[in-house]
Amino acid sequence: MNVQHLARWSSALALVASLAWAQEPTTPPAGPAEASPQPAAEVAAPAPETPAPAAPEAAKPSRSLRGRIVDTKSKDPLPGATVSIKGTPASAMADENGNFVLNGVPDGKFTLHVEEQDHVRRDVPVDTNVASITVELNQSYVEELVVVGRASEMARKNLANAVSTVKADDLSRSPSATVDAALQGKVAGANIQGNSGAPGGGMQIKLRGVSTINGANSPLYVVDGVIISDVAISNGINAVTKSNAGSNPAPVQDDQVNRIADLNPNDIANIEILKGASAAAIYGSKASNGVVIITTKKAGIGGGGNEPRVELTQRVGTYQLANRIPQRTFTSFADAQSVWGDTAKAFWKCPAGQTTCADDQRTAGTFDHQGELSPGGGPSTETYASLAGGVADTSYFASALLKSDKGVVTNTGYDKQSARLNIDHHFGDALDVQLNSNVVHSLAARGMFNNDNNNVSAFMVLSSTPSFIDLRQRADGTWPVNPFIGLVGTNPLQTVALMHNDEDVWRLITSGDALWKIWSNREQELKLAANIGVDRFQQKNLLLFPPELNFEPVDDGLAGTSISATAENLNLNYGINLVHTFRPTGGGPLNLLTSSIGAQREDRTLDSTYIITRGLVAGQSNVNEGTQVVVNEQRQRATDRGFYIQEEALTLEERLQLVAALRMEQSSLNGDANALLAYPKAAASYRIGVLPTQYFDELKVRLAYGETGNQPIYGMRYTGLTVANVNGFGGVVVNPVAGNAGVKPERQREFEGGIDALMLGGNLVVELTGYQRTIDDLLLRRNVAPSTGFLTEIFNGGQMINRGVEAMVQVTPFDNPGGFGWNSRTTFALNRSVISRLDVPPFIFGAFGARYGAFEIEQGKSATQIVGNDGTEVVTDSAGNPVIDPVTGQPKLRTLVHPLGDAEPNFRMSFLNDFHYGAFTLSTNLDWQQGSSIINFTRQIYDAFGNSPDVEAAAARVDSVEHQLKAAPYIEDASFLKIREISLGYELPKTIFQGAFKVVRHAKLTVSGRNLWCFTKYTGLDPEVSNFGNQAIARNVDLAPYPPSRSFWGSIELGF
Amino acid sequence: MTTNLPFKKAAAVLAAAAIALGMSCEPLDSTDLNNPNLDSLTKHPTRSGILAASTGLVIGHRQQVAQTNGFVSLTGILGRESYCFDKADPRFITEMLEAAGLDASSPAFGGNEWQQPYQNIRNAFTVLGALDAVPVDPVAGVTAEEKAAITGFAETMQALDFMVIHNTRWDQGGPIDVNRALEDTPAPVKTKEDILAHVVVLLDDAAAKLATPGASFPFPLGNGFRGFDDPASFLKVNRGIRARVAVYQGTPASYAEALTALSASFLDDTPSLDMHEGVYHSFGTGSGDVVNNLVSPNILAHPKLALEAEAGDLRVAQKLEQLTDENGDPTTTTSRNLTTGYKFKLYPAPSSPIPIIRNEELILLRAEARFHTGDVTGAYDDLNLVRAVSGGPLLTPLVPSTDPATFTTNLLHERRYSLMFEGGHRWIDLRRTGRANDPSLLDIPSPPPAGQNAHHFSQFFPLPLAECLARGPSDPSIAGKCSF
Repeated sequence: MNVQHLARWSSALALVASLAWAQEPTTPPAGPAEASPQPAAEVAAPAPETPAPAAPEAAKPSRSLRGRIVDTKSKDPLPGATVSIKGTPASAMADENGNFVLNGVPDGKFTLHVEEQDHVRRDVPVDTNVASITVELNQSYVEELVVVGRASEMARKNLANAVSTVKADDLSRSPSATVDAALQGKVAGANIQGNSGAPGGGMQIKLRGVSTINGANSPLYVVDGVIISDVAISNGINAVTKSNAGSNPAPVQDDQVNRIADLNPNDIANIEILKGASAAAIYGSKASNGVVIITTKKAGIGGGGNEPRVELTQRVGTYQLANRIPQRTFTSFADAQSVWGDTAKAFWKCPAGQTTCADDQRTAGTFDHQGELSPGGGPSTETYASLAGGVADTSYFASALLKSDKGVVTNTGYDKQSARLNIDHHFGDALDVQLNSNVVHSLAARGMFNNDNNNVSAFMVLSSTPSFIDLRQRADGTWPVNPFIGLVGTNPLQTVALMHNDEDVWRLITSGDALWKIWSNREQELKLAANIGVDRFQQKNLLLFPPELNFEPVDDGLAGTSISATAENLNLNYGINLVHTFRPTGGGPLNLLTSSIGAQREDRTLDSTYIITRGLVAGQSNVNEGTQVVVNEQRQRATDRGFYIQEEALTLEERLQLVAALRMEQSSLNGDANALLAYPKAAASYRIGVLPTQYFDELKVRLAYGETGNQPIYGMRYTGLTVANVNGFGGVVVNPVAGNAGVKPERQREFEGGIDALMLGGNLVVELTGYQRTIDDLLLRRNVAPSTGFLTEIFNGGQMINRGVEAMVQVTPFDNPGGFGWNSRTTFALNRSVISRLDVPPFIFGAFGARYGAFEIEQGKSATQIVGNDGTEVVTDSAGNPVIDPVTGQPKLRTLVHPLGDAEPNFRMSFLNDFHYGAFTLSTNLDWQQGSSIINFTRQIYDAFGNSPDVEAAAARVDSVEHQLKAAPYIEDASFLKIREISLGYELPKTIFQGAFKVVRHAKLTVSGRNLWCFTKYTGLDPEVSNFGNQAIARNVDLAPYPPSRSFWGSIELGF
Repeated sequence: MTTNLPFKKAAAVLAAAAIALGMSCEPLDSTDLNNPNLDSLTKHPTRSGILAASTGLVIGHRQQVAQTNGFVSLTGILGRESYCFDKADPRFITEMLEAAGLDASSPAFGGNEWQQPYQNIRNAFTVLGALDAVPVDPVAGVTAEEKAAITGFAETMQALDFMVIHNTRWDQGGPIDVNRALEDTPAPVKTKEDILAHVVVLLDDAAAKLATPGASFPFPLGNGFRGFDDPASFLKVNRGIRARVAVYQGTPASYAEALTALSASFLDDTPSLDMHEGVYHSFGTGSGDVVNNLVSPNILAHPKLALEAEAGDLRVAQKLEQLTDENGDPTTTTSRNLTTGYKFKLYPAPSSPIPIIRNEELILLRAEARFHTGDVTGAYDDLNLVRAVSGGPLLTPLVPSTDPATFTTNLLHERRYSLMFEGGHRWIDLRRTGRANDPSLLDIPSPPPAGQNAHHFSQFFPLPLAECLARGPSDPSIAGKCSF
């Protein structure tokens, strides 16, 4: 779904035409070889100064009309647009510069009909004697092309699925570091949440709720036809935090970044989101979580002959701490002593000049540890430059980005540099070759947050550090030891000042496409499309915890830790597609038949190596210069191959669209690697011919069905032996995860239906969608009886159903070009999941056990339900009498575990409003989540150590959890309303650019902000957190996250 | 679609390209790039695989011992030997000391002490199964003598793992017949007496195997088994464990069996005795090895260990250390109303070993067995031997008492200081002698002072919730032991 088409709709349908040209004398000519812009329309004009190109019939005596078809907004030419005169057979097609010549024009007034895919058709009255005309077409929401297969496109008006599209303008209005952040609040049915406030990404997109429990939970990302990796790789910090020491052995609490973060949002032309199986079946067994199709910017339609255009954007901004955890302040020594014991005494001083005094005379200061940890405010900058143009048969788009974000926490931040070159070359009419390449370097410093079991992570320490201790660096350069962390002494201010947690990524994404028009005639066309793509990245994590850190000498007896982790990823894609289109001209019911067939292969490898060195000799950071060196390597390799066939038919005067497709696929991740699995799809849409009232312009009903899969994760098919050693003597033990040699993909079957209406001349657009998706053969890690020696067993079983509705309403109450305009778009989505069948007993999943709230997978219940202890009851025997505990003599009690919440929101809405008045534009984006639940473990640790300001209530909450065995106080409502973006722009008048500055084509000043405010009852830092990172189920666990920030930006955009 | 020339041409191009892209019928390759496969042991066992899996039994048994939330630490907290002031996890106090019963749902607080011993029991079954399948051959397989030795070793390790189940679950019991396929009904949960009886069977069978003439261990056991790394010497360890089980069984017959077993064990009461002789979990800082995580600043000694010690007891000076501040002055540390000024000196380094069983315990076991078989003098001789050698010259010999309660008090005192923080001995001893309900054990007895929570003494870890859920409420063997 996009915001930009607000503008499209908002433009008047009336002809603006040449007047605009007259006002824009500085606009460069469209092409060097062509005529200068045509002067006025609707007024008598002199004969063209330059003879019209390709005008063989110019010699005919009858009147002819020359003209140019351009896009209203961009003024880009629209090649391929057709013009015809109503009531006559005369017609012509615009050339690649948008120019056309129409001969045999009637002498009197007539109506010119202009059509172009992607744009709204127009009927333009042409007066007598007019010889030349420029027609501007508004981009059309219903006419825009949407990718429906791997090689074919379809106009939105015929589409049978609710495919959301987000365009460049909507992505870059208010700067965001990553693409997923830029999408927040813009797509109905997409729940996009951050894992923490750390700079440099780490977000999760869930489309239409959860669709898996233990399988992969990221959508499939396709960039310019290349399936790229969105893997999140641990940085290895768990070696210091020991976050994986307890019940969660996997290193998932490392505040990991999913690698879609590497893309440069500024390079993106548009994003199409296929939310479910009914749309995404053609992507087979990787598409169960939806498909995000990203297309990067091109030089422009039509290729060669374009003057180079330069766009330059400079942004300067800052990040500010958005929220703090409430912390107790102490007013008397007695108060402090009651919580912190005699350790507090050193910080409560006697009145000046006295060495001893009564305890009630002691005083202490109050320090803002959170503010000292997160001063924020450093300047963040973003410079983006792009160059687009064309020479002869080649067009090019090149861009460069320099970005430097300063995080709110000391020594954290995110730097990114990106360069892109997209080249499109035509070899005559038959062959078109495109090469897209992007190299990105990013460096993220993310500090140390989230859970830890070693008393080192910032909020795990601050939760048990009283506000009366001064942790700031002393004048002599030393750092105070924090005696409230037992013997560990961690001082988080020292930790962030001295540690390093750097994630350095180099990434190259390159794709090559060739489109060969093998053959065509008046009715038919046959095209061969081949593509090859490479996504290669290296993630290097260098972590250093120098021996000087207070905790380092004591945490394990080995002072200093250095971690060097390297992950190498390679995705290779190859595909070949044959597309045949048949457009009968002889009448009959069939209007268009598109047949596609194609084959794809994907190879993926990921190899990550961790070297962890403890006991750094002389503080050296090289991993070979330590006392203990631990090495760990994990490798993954997968190959998928498959083919598809697809038929699309457009019939009944282009009103009925029918699509059927079948994808067949093999994957080495499946238990039977050579099993050929089928993913069918069928869809129909009908544009109603007789509209109910005159207010309707278009009314469409649609129904679609499709199937997709979710591949097993690498390793699920094996039961491994773990290799370890004792004093260097190697041995093997059985891995507690039992694999499954017959494991196969999950299968999602989705029905989607909807109604789309276009009303009031395009000023009201309504889209309503309902869906039901059934996911069978869930990839489950079922908990087996641990007495078997195994913890879990991989198996396919159970069934989950998601049902939901999505709605989009777009209104344009005011629309005066040049005057006041207001465009409003509201999206609504709700989703309900249910575990409709579970072939195993219910099991607790994620978080930290039922005492504090955890997820439970249970038949008949929501997949994301949160359960927790809910008091006790007396155990009775079969006769109903209480069972007496022989040890205590008291009746035996059992703890009750009941549902206490659900991570799934009741609904999500977003409100996007665009206003313009003259040269001013104002855009706002409000994002509302209603009714999700979150486990607030952060509050629990503040409460447990007497550090919450609401002392009595905190004690009651602890009592509830620990003694009454009721987890409810820490399972909170995560409803929020966030002001995601506000952006105010001013387009500078062209008249101010004179003389040497005349090259400036346009200039715009913008002030904007992101995540400006969050209205919520949630008591934690941010209701959008996930201690366990990207998770299908176990999200919404708040445990000591990186604090959230709000950012403010000033930008200037210049076009040359 | 009509079949005309362009289509044929295109189809040919497509087919050629498809083949070039590897779309042909060549099978997809798939192997586990990270780990050897279990099938390599169960289906096609080799000599090297069996030997690696045998060493693996040492590794598997060590898994849950030395974690900050492992067996030694948690049982130390429950037995009021240690504290864990981990500010990141209040459960070390709230759940372990304050709660009226432990949480069944968390692997980190007791669940691992169930799953991991059973995992190693599974490892032993895998070794035993592989021994059955491998040819009797010194190159391709193992010799008959090696087979006997490995079986004896595997069964002894299995006995040790069942003891962990017994020690952590106590009255809850645990399943015994666990060598089943995953899809089978889980083995019924048996009583703690059944578990001990099974351990006896395992140990006695293992002893017979270890005594096979010509037997040898063709695999390394690690530094912790130095001196006990051949079948003949390891048999003495087996007998020591057998004696411990017999004493735990606590019947007149079992006490007699304990004395028999001890006589075949490595018990040494000669003047040159080494109280520390025995077998140990060993740790290392090498890659792939495990370090002793009891070297943690959060793990502290319970203040009563110092408070209730006899003056001059060398064991206190050797095992406890006062906390000091930056100036070297004694200090204390506090968490949730608990304060202590001591930490342990037992495990100073990441590679410090932790005893599995050692001579000092054997002497104390003999004292107990002797007393309960009527040899009061012998019993006190043993106690006083320990007091003299470990406690030092300032401790006066105990005067023998025929009163069982007095003896138990004397015995538990020596065991408390001799076997301090070595693996839950104190907790197990208080429980098996019926002394766990003494309110004086608790730091904060009921009623608690205002703003504080009373403590409880948890006698067992409940059956893990995962075990309960996997069995379901219809399993009669878990009746009353699970919350559903």
